[in-house]
Amino acid sequence: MTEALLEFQDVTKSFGGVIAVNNNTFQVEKGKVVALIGPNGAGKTSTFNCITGMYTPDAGEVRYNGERINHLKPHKIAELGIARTFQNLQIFTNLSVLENIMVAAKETRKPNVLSSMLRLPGIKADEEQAQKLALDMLELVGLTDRAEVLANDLSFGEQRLLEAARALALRPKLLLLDEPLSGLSREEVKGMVALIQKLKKDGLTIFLIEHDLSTVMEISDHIIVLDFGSKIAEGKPDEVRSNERVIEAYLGRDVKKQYEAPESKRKDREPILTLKDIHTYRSTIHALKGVDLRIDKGSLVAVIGANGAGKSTLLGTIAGQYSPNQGTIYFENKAMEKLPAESVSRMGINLVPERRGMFAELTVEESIRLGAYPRLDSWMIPAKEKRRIEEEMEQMYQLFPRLKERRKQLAGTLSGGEQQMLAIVRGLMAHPRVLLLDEPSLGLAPLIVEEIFDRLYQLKQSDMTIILVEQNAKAALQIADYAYVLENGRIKLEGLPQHLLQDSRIRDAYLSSH
Amino acid sequence: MERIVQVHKPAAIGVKRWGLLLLGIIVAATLPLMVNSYLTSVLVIIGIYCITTVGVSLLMGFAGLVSLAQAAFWGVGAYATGVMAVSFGISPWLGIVLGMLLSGLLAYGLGWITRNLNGHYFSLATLGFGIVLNIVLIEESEWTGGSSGLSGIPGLSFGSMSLSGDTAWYYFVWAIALLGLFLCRNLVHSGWGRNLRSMHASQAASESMGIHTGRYRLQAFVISALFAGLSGGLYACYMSFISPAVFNFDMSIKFVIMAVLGGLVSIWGSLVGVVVVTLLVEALRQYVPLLLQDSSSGGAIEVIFFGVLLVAIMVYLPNGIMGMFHKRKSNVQVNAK
Repeated sequence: MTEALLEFQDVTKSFGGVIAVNNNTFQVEKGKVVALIGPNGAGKTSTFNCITGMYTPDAGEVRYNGERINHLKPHKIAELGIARTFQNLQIFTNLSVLENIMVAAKETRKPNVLSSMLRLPGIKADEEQAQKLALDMLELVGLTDRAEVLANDLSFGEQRLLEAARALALRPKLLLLDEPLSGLSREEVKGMVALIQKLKKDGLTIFLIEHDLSTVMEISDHIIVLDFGSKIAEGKPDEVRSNERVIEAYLGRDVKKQYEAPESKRKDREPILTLKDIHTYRSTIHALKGVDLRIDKGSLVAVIGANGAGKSTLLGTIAGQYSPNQGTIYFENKAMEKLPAESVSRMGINLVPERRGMFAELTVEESIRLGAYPRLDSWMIPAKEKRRIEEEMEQMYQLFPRLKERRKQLAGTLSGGEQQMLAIVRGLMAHPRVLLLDEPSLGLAPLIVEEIFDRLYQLKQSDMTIILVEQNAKAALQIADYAYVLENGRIKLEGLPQHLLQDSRIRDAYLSSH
Repeated sequence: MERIVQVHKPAAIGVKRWGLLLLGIIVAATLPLMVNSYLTSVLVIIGIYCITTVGVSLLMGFAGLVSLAQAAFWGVGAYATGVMAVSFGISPWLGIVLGMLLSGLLAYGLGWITRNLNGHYFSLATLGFGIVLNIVLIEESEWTGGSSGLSGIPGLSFGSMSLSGDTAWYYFVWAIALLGLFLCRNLVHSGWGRNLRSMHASQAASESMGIHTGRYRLQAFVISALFAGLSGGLYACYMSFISPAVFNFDMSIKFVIMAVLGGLVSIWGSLVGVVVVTLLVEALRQYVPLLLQDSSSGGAIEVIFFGVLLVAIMVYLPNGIMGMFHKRKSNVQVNAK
């Protein structure tokens, strides 16, 4: 029998009535890759937080190497050899890539203040050791040539790799990965999977949360399934795959919505937004290299492409966050590429950013109401307007009933999927003429993605103009009227979604089932 | 395989910086020979302020903590030195060291009590401490001389040679200030500083990497108080007279303004900030009475001036004067987050 490195025994953690982790018992065996899966809000990240000391369990015991670690502080637990990555990346944006990793080095964990001030030789030696370790880790994840870059300037995929490298620099015995594949392109997923397999071969124990089931099945020795805070199943991949309860909880009823395919009526429609030869630089990177785009009134246009293709830059350029170095953007025949973000937003072009931008300490209701303010010119809101806002909020709640149930809850305590719904609703409250959505499916379970995309389809039917930037090409193409494929800052392909879906080039590049 | 990775700054800037530093040293060394004795005394005060501001800059720029108790720690250093010398005849050298330690000790206590407070709450707690300490200085008049101040504090001397005259003080104080700047610069560029900055970006992540964030916070706070205490002791000996009115809330704010105006992106910002603010205040003292016949309104004008200055910095120079020389590393707008 193999030894258990980590043990959960009857662990419970609740937050004001919501039970995040419900009396769970399981083990993570030494040298194995164990996956923790389940729908959004199942309590996966809360489970991780109970291990790393960010939460203290209300009841039960967490044991590591047979030792109880319930009440230890996070930094003590890290010192014991448990390292983690974060679902919503927590990189040190103010440090260089190399420095990010050096933070995790043991040598420089507790430097003496006086010797640091005086630059004593010991300090210098430790620093060199830490740097050497950091360079080794960068080489391991393939980011060596980015060592000196400010971590903030890395692409999303690179930031995920950086987090992994930083965690590994702790020289952990147990590595916790919170959705390591989410938001990665197919190539990047391959790289991450190879890394996980290499680490496993080197004897590291890995405990990971992931939504990408096919990859999970491929790399895991053991799978634990959570739903509403409780463990509903565990076992080998094959056992879990065929478990009825798992299928029901995780995948939902297997009724795929059929959406009406758009006709090629593009010609009859009027463009509301036109981009002509747009070039945008981000720091020194030529992110957009001459993009032409036409968005028709009342249509849903999908822009798909891999990570780092320039999708977010494209939306940011339209929203006025980045000023293009060349080219013109026409909004109803008026050039607007020089306008600052707030003017663009006042014209009715509203961006729902990637990673959502929540105000964690406002309630759902307050957040939604806040969305209506930008469109009101005065700070005094007339009673009539207030009533209208209340009515609109009611409509929004009909669109997303989950938000109504949680309207008094703080936005920061919502699950990822609910936060995304809230972000969309907040954008809608501003009465956008064009709604820009940046990766709404990022990090969400398939069932939730389906729900959100269904609502987007509904919005389009009610004549809203939407630009949807997505990596989940399959889902985006199902509901779009027209689609562009962005690659390396250029439009590589465009056309009706049903045609693109047939295109083998697209299938190869973006529609893999991962 | 040989790999050389420059952390922080490319080499080209390094050369330019050393040149700039050399130029600065030459100017600083010859400055007292070129200006009158009034200006020299202003330069001494600037040096003394600078020692406090270095600590403020460390605390604000790298730990992300805004302390409004720095004038209090400054006062602890000054009064400890003054009271020990006047009432007990203890050598001011020893007084300065003890004053520094007392400041550090108080900061340790205050920092430990406020270890779980973040942002505004921490600032408010330190504000409270500053106000209480100011009241203590006024009320304990038996020792401190109360609101009429404490006079007759002896100056410093090296053996039989006493440190007299503004020019001598100028070199002495600036040697200490530059040493302080140098030590702090080493500190923020070391692993210690990196850990501190990491916690500024994501406390959750630094703790998960084994960094005891509370410890770094506390250390930064104590260091800033030690610097303030040292500066206070020097101030007492230089002025030979101190009064509680100097060590009040206004002064704490002034220290914060100096650090922010100079720029929190670099430890050298504190030096720039002190020089600019103090020279502006001196200019104000010179010219306001000429504009306004009523000379008693000078203090009020100063308060208004600082208010306007702070607003202007925040609007036009959020990264301070040093921020203008630091290349923006990313063109992502602040509001894009």
